[in-house]
Amino acid sequence: MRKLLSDAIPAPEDEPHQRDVISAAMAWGERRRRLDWVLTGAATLAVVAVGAGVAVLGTGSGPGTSAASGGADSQKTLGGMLDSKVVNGQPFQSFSPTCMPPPNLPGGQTKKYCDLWQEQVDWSTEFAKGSVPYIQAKLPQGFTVKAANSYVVQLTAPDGKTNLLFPSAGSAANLLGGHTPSCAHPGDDCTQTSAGGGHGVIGQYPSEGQSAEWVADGLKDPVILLGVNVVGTSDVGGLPAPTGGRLLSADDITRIVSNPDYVKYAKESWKHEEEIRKQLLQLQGPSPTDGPTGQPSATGSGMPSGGGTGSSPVNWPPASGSHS
Amino acid sequence: MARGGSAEARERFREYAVGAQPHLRRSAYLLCGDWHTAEDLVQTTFGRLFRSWPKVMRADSVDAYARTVLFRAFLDLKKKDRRTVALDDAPEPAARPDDADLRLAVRNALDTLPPRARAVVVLRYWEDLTVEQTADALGVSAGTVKSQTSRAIAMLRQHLGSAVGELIHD
Repeated sequence: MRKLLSDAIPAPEDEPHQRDVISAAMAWGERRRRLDWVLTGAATLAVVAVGAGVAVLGTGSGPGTSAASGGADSQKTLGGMLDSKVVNGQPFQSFSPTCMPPPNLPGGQTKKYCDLWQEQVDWSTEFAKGSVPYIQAKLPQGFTVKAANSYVVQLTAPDGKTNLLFPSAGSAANLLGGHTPSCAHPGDDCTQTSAGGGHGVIGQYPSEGQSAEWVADGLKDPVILLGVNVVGTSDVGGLPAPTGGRLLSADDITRIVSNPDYVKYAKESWKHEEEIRKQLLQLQGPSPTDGPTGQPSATGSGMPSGGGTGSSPVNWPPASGSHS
Repeated sequence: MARGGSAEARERFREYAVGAQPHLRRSAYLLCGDWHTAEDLVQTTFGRLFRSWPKVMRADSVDAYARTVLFRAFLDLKKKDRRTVALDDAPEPAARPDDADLRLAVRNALDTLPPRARAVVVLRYWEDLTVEQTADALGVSAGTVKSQTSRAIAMLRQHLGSAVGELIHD
């Protein structure tokens, strides 16, 4: 029987050339992981602990923090969110994941599910694009910011040097766990700010880049996140690698993230995202594909993996018998 | 352990993906019957693996994990395209094809299988998994795997003709 199946496959020399699916998959996976972590709050400690040499502040596990990813891992994963070496020198390829609705959706709901799913997938890109005018409004003179069809936007200084910016937002409850953002060790690598009726931190992460978060007092509004990639990191999201060192000061970044108009925009956008997620979960019902063993959900590509579902694939013990 | 989001982890992923791609691609081809879709499936698989790579790379067998994701992605894809062929609608049994036609005949025969039965065949006879391992990979019971196997074998026999069908052992 195996021979029969082998016969159904052309000889290796007759197989068509393999296209580079790996770079595209990595770009998509990174983007989804970034969104997952922002949405589920699994990066709680990491976001709080922006800045170099930050000690974990001991807020405990956030709602989405799995047992397998303690504070240290969370911090590492934030690096994954912001470090742009996704495509690793390979040309970026756009990759549109396919909506795979749960199998037991009532009739007529599939289109609605996939429309919502696509909207959620696009949310981070839409948020980034929508952030551009608010960022531009607070930039130093001569700087410009340009949107792309991506979750990243490009900052250009008057001398033509560029940085890549990652604007995003997330739930304060998940990301901060009830704590006001603060540096473990304020200093050159981590700046605490109080501006615009809220608090923020601007730290050094990843590499020589910057990572900022800001939230309004009361911790009820979404947290505004802004990552900055500088020279030394590679292209990401279809935008070329940054060519400049840090183009913005901590004060510049503070003005951006605490801009009341930007805060209002983030609040509305995040509310919309939450509504999408709520509707998706309602349509999805109890997770149909996550078995009792916590096996990976192949249909879950469009859904945040957390949200307290406990569907972390880390718990999955592969049955055995990997192919030889 | 390499960090999930670090450059080192990404390199490990790339290294793994480069090594795993040929086999996954061939498995995907057996599942769907065309290279374009096969590569889409492999890309989907890699995307999902990389999305959870910090966790996946701690799994006992990344290969098994990847295989499960691939096969489930295939089944998900087919759920969107429910074009199963009932046994009664199957074409007449073919005469024994010569070697030149065998590849096409087998592919055509595989095309007639319902997606889950096809996945069972590929897992059991291409990936050499046991009934239990196949059941784990697909998230179904061992009994389901056995019944799907029997059904698939019967359909393949019918489509490939008795001579080639003798190559198939239940």
